[in-house]
Formats: sequence, structure tokens, C-alpha cells
Amino acid sequence: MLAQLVVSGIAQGALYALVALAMTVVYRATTVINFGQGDFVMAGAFAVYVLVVLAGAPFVVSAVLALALLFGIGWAIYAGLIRPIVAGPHLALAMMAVAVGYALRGVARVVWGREVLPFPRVLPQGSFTVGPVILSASDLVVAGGVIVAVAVLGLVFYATPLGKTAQAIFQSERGAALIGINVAAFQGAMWGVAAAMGALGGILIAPITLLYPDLAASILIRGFAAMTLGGFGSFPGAAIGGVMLGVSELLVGAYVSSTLIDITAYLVIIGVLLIRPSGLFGRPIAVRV
Amino acid sequence: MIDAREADAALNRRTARHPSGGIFWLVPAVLLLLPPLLNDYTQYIVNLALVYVLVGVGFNVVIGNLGQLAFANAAFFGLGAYATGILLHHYHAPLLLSIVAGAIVGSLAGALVSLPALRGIRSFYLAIITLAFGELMRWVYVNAEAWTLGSMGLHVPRPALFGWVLSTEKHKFYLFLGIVTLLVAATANLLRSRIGRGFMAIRDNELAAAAMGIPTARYMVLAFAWSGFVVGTGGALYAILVRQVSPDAFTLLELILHFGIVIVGGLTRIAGSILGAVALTMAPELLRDLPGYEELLIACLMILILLFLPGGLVTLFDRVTPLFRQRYHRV
Amino acid sequence: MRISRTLFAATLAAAVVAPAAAQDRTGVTETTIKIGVPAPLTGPNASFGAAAYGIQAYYNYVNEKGGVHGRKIELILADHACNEAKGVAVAKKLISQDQVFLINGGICSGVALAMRPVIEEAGVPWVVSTAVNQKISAPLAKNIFHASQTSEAAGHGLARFVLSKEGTRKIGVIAHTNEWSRGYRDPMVAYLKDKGLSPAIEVTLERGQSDATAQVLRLKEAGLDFVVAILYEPEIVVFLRDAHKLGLNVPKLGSLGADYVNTEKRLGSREPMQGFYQIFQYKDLIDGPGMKNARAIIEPRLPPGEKLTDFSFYGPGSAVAIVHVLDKIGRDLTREKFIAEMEQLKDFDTGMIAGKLSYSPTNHQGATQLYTVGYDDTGKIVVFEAWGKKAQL
Repeated sequence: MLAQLVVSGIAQGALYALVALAMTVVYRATTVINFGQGDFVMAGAFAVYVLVVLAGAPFVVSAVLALALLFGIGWAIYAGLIRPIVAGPHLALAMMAVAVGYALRGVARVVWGREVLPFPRVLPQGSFTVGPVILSASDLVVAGGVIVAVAVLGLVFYATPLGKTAQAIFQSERGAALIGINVAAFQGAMWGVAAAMGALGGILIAPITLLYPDLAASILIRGFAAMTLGGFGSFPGAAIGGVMLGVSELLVGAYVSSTLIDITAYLVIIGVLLIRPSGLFGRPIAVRV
Repeated sequence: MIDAREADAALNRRTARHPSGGIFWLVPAVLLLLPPLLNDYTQYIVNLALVYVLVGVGFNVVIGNLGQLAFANAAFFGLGAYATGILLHHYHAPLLLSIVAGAIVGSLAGALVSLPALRGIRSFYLAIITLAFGELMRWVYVNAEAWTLGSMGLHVPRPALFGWVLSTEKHKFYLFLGIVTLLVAATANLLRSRIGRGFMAIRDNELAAAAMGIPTARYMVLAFAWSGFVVGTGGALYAILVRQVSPDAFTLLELILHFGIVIVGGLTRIAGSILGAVALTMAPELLRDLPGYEELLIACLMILILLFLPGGLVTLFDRVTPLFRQRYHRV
Repeated sequence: MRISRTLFAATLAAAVVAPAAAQDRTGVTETTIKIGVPAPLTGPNASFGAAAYGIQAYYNYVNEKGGVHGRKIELILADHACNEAKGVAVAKKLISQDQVFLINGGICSGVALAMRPVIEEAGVPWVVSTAVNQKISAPLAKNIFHASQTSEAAGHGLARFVLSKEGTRKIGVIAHTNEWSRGYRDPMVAYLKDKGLSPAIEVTLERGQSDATAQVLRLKEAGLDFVVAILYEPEIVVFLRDAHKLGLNVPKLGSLGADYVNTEKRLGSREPMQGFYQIFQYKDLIDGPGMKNARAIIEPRLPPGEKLTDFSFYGPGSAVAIVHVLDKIGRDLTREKFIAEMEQLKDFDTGMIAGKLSYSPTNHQGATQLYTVGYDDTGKIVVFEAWGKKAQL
């Protein structure tokens, strides 16, 4: 049973990692926490649904289009709604992100609020056994998808000129601008990337949970927990934090009580922030004077 | 060298002469004339607006005046409602005692939530930990069944004030109006005092405030505790008004409503919170013919205000009547 | 016989004044009867609002046929978004502002519980549909009638079906912690207790969770004979999928929160549905002969864009009963007469609700019959009345 729990926990945690990674991308690029990330997940899933079911496009094409669409939406949100107030109080930024997520949910509810929709089938059914562990095809796809996303992100941020640009901007926005880097465009692109990653999460999770506007209600706070555990601003931290959270939830649920699964994330957040706020891999939080 | 107390005294004299103080008492006086014009339903909506006035005013103290991203407001609201509900349901406790209990539980929760802030947790981190706290409280409501009756919800019997049964919405209105007026006036006094100015100094630059001798830790706990007290009272009145307290009433969706109230109305301004509470309570009733758009409209309103009118709707009134402008803040 | 003139005058006066004072005709005009329908038309539980649109469709049908004794039904749909504070507002609006003759609906149990004191104190007749929690109508309130199966009936139904399988001893429960799940689970456990049994294990799957691995593994470990799953639509799919994947091959029974056929569509194949049954509140399968008339009435009259689901029938059964009672009373329509006539209703077939509705002055919970749906040995979906025993419909 332990092996099964760990493996399923990793598959589940991969989703949390994806959300946490997307939020880390935004955080590294603009030092804002996107409180609306959960609703990007939902929006991506709905975008694919619209393209497949209503426009009749093949699934893979729809998925790619949805990623592109969300990329554009993310960039537009940054450029139009976040950047104008980015110099203002953090409260306004948090509220804006919340409001944007809420607006996305409002749109989904106006159009589809009355139904719980089945998501177009794309992943092969069936499961197979590896030793004491049973895996389903969707488990592999989800975990695989996230691993690929992590690898790509890692590669880009640490091994390409684009990555160097990103690091420059994170270290000093003004300095980067002084040497001619188009900071605003880069930041918009990063929000676009985060939104696209949210869409990817939505595409992966909607076949399992079905499609409804509150789809991602609980995944946001698990993304927070993963980021907190791994350390804010750390990519490996977000990934590992997500996986650890997924596994912990299943272990707690099986060995202690299934009523605790829902609050594992909250306890992680409270515990980590009170005991070791920088998490596993983050830098110690310092207040700039 | 000016003595600090002398400077304060001079400032207090200037603000005490401000005419907006008088205008303030006009509002409840006018409201007292309302009941004969309203039926049970519209009176209920007015009562609900009063509850949310407390929610907004209390939330504003921490988020607007103190400037901390403390998102535990739904928890203060819920804890106040449950404390009052439990006393009324299980023990048939006297009404005023139950309301005070709700307020005290709220303020204790506020003090508790201030602890991470005291340890230096700020901004988005504070937001996340307070959100987690709020959701954790919901789990407690569901699982502490012996007291809260779990997800079935707690039924609150008909309230009675010293033997006088509050059987209609009009009766509740008088009680609510009295309590709300008291707490709003007290909050206004607090914000106008040296302590209130200290909150805003902390918001603007915490280190400078500390360097100037403001006891930041003490003030932070006070702001959180006061916020919890006011919002907890709002929860107590909610329990008495709706007479059913259940965990589903205090979710993140409820918190977004609280955000809407303070942002749309106007941060740091009591008049703003009142305006936001009235607007967001009345709006769903007026928008009954457009089902489904309520969420979207509140979200878009918040976005527009954050972009173009960050001081909130109350700043629109400033241009009409300078009397509304409060002297103890700067936008 | 000489009657004292004063006595005669007094009797005459009493005969004129007394009935007039006791008869409440609010909401009735020469040409209309106002009926209020509180429902969740928006918000996170808006999919349950389908029941209200079913109710609306039925009243439209009645109006098309000329109404009731020359009066058309004027319907007021009021949205409460499954929120208690809004529910109380809606109840007060229907009573004090719209001044309806009676209230039909409710749908969200928690909200219905919040509305109960308001409606009870106002004395307006309320025919509850869809909201199952049995505390809505018990203890008895003179003006509140339950016209769909209560949570107690449903909980007993769950227990009875499970026990109708020979040799069932160890029963597992997987449920949400919300009041809807508890409303089914508590009476079921009480019924089992009466028979000397109690669940061997109970696990929680919260709304919004997308993985049930831990829960399924624990259920597997317990070596159960039967699992009762009190979950909403999305979570039933998650549970059945993980149960199939991890080999939890015991019979499973679901409650009234999902559509059987839709559940299979979402799973994408029949295999996870093997051994899965669901208690069922209607006379027959939605596309079965027993529901043909109901379909013909409801389906064409749904609002544009609204699809027919089995939830669409969860409301109108109560409307059928209401119209029948209004018809029996005739032109002189008052609230008191409505209540009295409802209490006389016996063995009334609504054409939609399983079984027949029966009320009395001491019993306002008229619907007690429940069936179960599931696959039989030939691979067809049928209606059962007990394990292995098809229902005589």
C-alpha cells in the first residue's frame, strides 16, 4: 500500500508542482504572487473544451491553440492590468490578481455555470501494473507532462541567453533596463508563460475532475503550499514541494484520517512559515529598507 | 524641540473641530426614519447591509489603515458567528452576552493572527498564511461537531432582548443600528487618535515608524485585535439575522465579497467601507433580473477601481461634498 | 321555536365575520395564482437549478391548458445561489414583497433549513421539492410539506438495498463532510444500527479532490461486502475511476447526487460501472416507458439553452401534486384550504416521483418510495427494488 500511495502521490503532486512552478515564474519575473493562477487552470480547460466540442478541432490542435490563447491572455493581463499598478502597494496587486481570477470564473459561470461538462477524451484508458504499484495512463501523462515542463524551464532559465536575461531582471530591474533589456516585454511574456502552464494543468486535470467553473478552487492553495514548502522563488523547490505535498496528502489520508487530506496544505503553510519561512530551498526573506 | 504630547494635542484640537464629526451622527438619525417605509424583505436587506458595514469597517482597519495583507477576515466573521450561535443554541444565553462573546472571540482570533505579522511575515506571505488560517477554521467548524453541529449548520433560536422577543426585522434593525453606530464611532475615534495615526505610519514605512518611537508591535496587535472585534461583532449579528450558521457561509468566495467591499468603497476610509457594504449588499437584490452576472460585475468593478479610481467610490463623493473628506488621512 | 334576537344576531355576525377572518387569499387574484420558486440559479451549485426549470416547464404546461379553474399560474423564480443569507432574503421577498400564494421549491438543503423559520412563522404554504434534509419538514410544521423523498427515506433506502444482498455484514462509507452527505449518512447509519450493524469504515472525499487513492486503498484493506458512496457528480467519477484502477471490486451504491447515464459517459467505459448501483427517485428510467408522459411535458418547455437532465424531473413532481390540489379546491381558493386539502392527499401518482404521495395531518413527508438503478446480467440498465430483484413498474 505504501508504494502505491507514494506513486499516486507523486502523480497528484505533479499537478501541484505545475501550479507552483507557474506562480514561481511570475514571482521571479515580477515579484507578484498570482492569486488568480487557479483560474488560469480552469480557463485553459474551458478553452480546449470550446475548441474541441464547439469548433470541432482535433484535440492536439485545440490544446496547442489553448496554450497559445492563454499565453496571450496572460501577457495582456500583465500589460493591461498589472503593470500599470506594479509600483503601487502590494495589496492592490494581490487584489487585482484575485479580481482577475474571479472575473475569469465569472465568465465561465455566465456561459457554462449550469452544467458539469465532460471533458473530451484524449488520454488512453486503462492501467497497468508495475510491481506492487498500479498506474493509470493519465498518471503517467500528468507526471510526464510536468517533468517535461520542469526540464524545459530549467534549461531555459539556466542555460540560455533568455535565462540570463531573466536572472538579470530578477536581480535588478532597473539595471537590466539600463543595459537595454526590454523588461516590460519580458515580464509580459513570463505572465503569458505562467498562464500557458496553467492551461496545461487544466488540460491534464479536467479529464479527471470534469469541467466546471470552480474546478481549480482548491488547487490554488495547494500551489501556495508547494511554493512555501519548497521556498518562494525556487524552481526545484516548487517542483519538489509540490511532489512532497502530494505524497504527504495521500500518506496522511491513508494512515491518519481522510478528513485531514483537505487541510494538509494549510498545516504545511502555517508550519513552514512559522518555523522556517524560507522553505527548503528558498533564500531567507529579507525586508528591503 | 516640540514636546510630542503638545504636538498631538494641537493636532487633536484641529481635527476635533472638523465638521464631518457632526455629519456622521446625522446618518443613523436619518436611518431611524426608514422602518415604516420598508417591508420585511427590504428591512432584512438593510439589516444585512448593517452587518456588512461592520465587516468592511473592521477589515479596513487592518488592510487599509495598517496596510497589512491579512486575509483572515472570513475567519473572524465565522468565529464571531459561531461563538454567538453556540451560546444561543446550546445554552440559550442572554442576547447581548452572546454578541459580546462573538466580538471577543473575534478579537482573540485577531490577536492570534497578528502573531505571524509580529514575527516579520509580510505582504504575500502574510496573505497566504492568513488564507490558510481561514480555511483551517472552516475545517474546524465542520469537525467540532459537538459544538458547531458540523456541516448541518447551527440553528439560532428567535433572539430576545431582556425578554422582548425580536420577532421582526424591524426589531432587529434597532438593535443592529445601535451596535453598528457605536462600533463605527469607536473605530473612527481610534483612527483619529494617535494610535490610528500610528497604524498609518506603520503602513507607510514600518522601519521609520519604529525609529520614531511608535511601538509597532503593540500597535499591530491592537489593530488586528480591533479588526477581529468589529468583524466578530458583524458575525454575531449575522448569526442573529440569518439564524443559521454553517461552514459553507465562510468560504473564500465570502472573502472575495469582503475584498470587494473595502476596495470598491475605498481603502482607509470608514465612509468608504460603509458605501462598499451598502453597494455590494443592495446590488445582488437590484440585479435579480440578470442572474449569473453578479460575480462578473463585482470582479470587473474591482478591476476598474484598482486601475482608475484606487481611492474607491467614496472619492467620487469627495468632489461633491468636501465635508466627506476626512482629515486624518492622506490618499 | 323562538330564538332570542340577540343570539340570532350574534350567530349571524359570527358566521359572517369568523370565516372571513380565517381565510387567507394572499397571492390569488381573479385571473392568477402567484407561486414562488426559490432555487440556486447561479453560483457553485447552479447545476441543481435544473429542478426549478423543470417546475417552471410544468406550470407552463398547465397554463397552456388554461390554468386552474380559470386562473393562470404566475411563477416567480427567485435565485438564492445556495447561500443561506440570500435564501432568507428570497423567502422574505416572496412572502412580504411578491406576496405569493404558496412557495414551491428550495432545492439546497442548507438554505431550505435557513428558510424554514421564516416560512413557518409566516404561515405561507411551502411544498418542498428536491431539498432532501428531513429536518426541513420535521418536526411537523402546519404549512410545510415535503414532496420529494427526504434524507431519512433516502438513507433508509440506501441501507435497505445494501442489506438486501445476502450476507452483507461489512459496509464501508465514502462521503463528503457537507450537510448534504451527512443528511444521507446519518439516517442510513441509524437504520443499520437498528439491525445491529454499523459501518466497518468511513472515509472522506472532499468536493474538488481529484484523487481517491488513499480512500480506495483503505476501503480495500477493510475487506468489505459493500461500499456506499455519498458523493456529488464529479467526485463519484473520481471515486469509481480509482476504485476500478486499484481493484476495489465490491458492489458500490451511490446516492441521489448524480445521473447514472452521465456518470458512465464521463468514465468513458462500462467497466468502472460494473457493480455500481444508485438509488433512484423516479417512477422509471428517464427514457423508459413510465416516464414518457413526463418527458413529453417537460422537455419541450425548458428555457432555451437548458438541456434535459434527470435533475430536471426532480422538481416538477411536487408541482403536479400542487396543481392537483388547487384543482380539487376549486375557485374559492385560500391558504387554509390548500393546507387542509394537501393533508387529505392519499396515494397520489405524480407521474414522475417513485411511488405515490400520501399525507395526513400528522405526516407531511409524503414520498417514501425509492428504487435503485444499475446494470443487470444482460448489460441493460434496469430499475431494481432490491438486490437482484427488478421493480414492477
